[in-house]
Amino acid sequence: MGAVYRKEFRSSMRGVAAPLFIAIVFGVVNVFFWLNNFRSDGYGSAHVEYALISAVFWSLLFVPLLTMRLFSEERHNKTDQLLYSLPITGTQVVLGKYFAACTVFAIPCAAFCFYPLLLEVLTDAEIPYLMCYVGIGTYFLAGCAVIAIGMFMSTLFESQIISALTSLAVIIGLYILGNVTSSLTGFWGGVAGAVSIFGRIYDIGYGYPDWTCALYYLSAAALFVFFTVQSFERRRWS
Amino acid sequence: MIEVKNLCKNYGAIPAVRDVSFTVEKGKIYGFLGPNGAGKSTTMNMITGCLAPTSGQVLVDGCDIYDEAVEAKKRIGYLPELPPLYTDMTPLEYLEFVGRAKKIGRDELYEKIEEVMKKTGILDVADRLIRNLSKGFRQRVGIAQAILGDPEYIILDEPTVGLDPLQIIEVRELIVSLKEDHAVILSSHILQEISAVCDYVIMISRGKVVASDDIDSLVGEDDTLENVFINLAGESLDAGAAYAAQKELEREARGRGRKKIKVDSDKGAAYYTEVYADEDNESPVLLEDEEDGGSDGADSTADEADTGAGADADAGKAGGADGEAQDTGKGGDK
Repeated sequence: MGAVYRKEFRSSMRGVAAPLFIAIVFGVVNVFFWLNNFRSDGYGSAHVEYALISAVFWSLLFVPLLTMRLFSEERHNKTDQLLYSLPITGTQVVLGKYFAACTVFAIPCAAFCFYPLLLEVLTDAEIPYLMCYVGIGTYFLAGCAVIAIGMFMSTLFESQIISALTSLAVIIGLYILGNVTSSLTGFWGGVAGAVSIFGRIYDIGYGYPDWTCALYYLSAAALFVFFTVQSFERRRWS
Repeated sequence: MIEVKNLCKNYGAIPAVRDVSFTVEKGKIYGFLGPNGAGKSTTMNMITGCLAPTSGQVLVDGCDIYDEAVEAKKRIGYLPELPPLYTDMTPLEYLEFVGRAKKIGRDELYEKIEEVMKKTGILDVADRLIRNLSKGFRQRVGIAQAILGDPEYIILDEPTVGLDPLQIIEVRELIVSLKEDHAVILSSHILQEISAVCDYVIMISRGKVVASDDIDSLVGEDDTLENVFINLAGESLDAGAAYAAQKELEREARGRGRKKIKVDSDKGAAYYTEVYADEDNESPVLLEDEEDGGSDGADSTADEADTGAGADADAGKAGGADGEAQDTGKGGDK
């Protein structure tokens, strides 16, 4: 897994897509950080997590930039033959690629960890550090879940563009589902709530750490990593 | 030892490899020969675990390539037909990746990389991006990854494609030098190459092994590998001639006002699988005259008959190889 991880991380950082993704995540979160936490009217919040809750959809909308090449490119260039013939398992290949993509996403998230300190220095507000870091951690896990979904999509198509567009459609679909959850009741309301990745992050905005939220994202990520392994292995049988 | 047992691979209903069995032992170079579409690459992909067989088994030193994949693959180095290269990496980075994936220890990784780079002559381009290398150098990088880590079994699918004559000689020498401690399976269309390098030939045609023997025993004193190849694997080459004969029969049929032509011949190697079940009756057969007004009787033109034959060959693949009569020239009224 380590070999695939290193190769994947190095390759992605050499390309355009991963640095562009990092820049976009920074840009989007910074806009919301500025609007939420540095308001000139004096009503700025000391809660960094509010900025992240606001930014979660608009920043993760660009996850396909990161995931579209993961498996589609291998298929297109026939380099997947090398991965199949090396003494590594499909799970190791998938996890190596997945953790490399998550590491790219971790770069802006690591930078966000300085934001509460920045608020401490630049304002006289009392900073709720626990909630800020729970927020950053949950935002990261939400990103990891969306990355897993995008990675799964990239196993389905040889074309990076189609893979990216499909991932984008799924992300937008999940966002819409999250917004309609409140208007649905009964069984369908439950289903919409269960798959509402973006809606779930609002749970950390109530002022106390919601660990079920983190568990939800970890479960979603694990599920789609599992699907990706199955999809990768299935191609061997096709 | 690699034991290939009754390997079969179907793509949908089409059998690409059928009941292929052979064994590979260290200290020999095996030539894997066959015409295009014979199933060579499919077989190699199955031996290396890239492709799962429909049925059959591959054992590498007793380890099943699917059930004990990691153990089995540690013993195999594979160069596919198209070298699987990451073009945004340098050969050094690429070989680092492959070496780590092959679990070569950190202590000896760079030593081994340098060794294979020397063997394949890519030391001078070690730090250039693979995308900027010539086809010949890319092929060498592919060979380098296959032999990195000293796997016991090296499987090379057309390793000299794209190389200049000098490079071809070098690669052949490299392959021969590997013989002592390894088993090499070498796929090639170049019969001279097989003759020059291999000890043993496995010939495959239409997905089946048609010959498997020492090259000396196979060729004999008065024959050439080329003749043996044409005789044993030539059925599919003859298919084109059969198609031409079929067209001739159609023309004849039109000229004589025939209504039906039995189309069960194939029109080339790519089509053989579609009619294989009817292999006993591969030649196009002109049926007996039928009276006008039969169930298939209908107006037709010579052009329809002409194009119909190709379509009927296609129909043969869809409808199974039952050799049923097909309407080509429904020109009973002519």
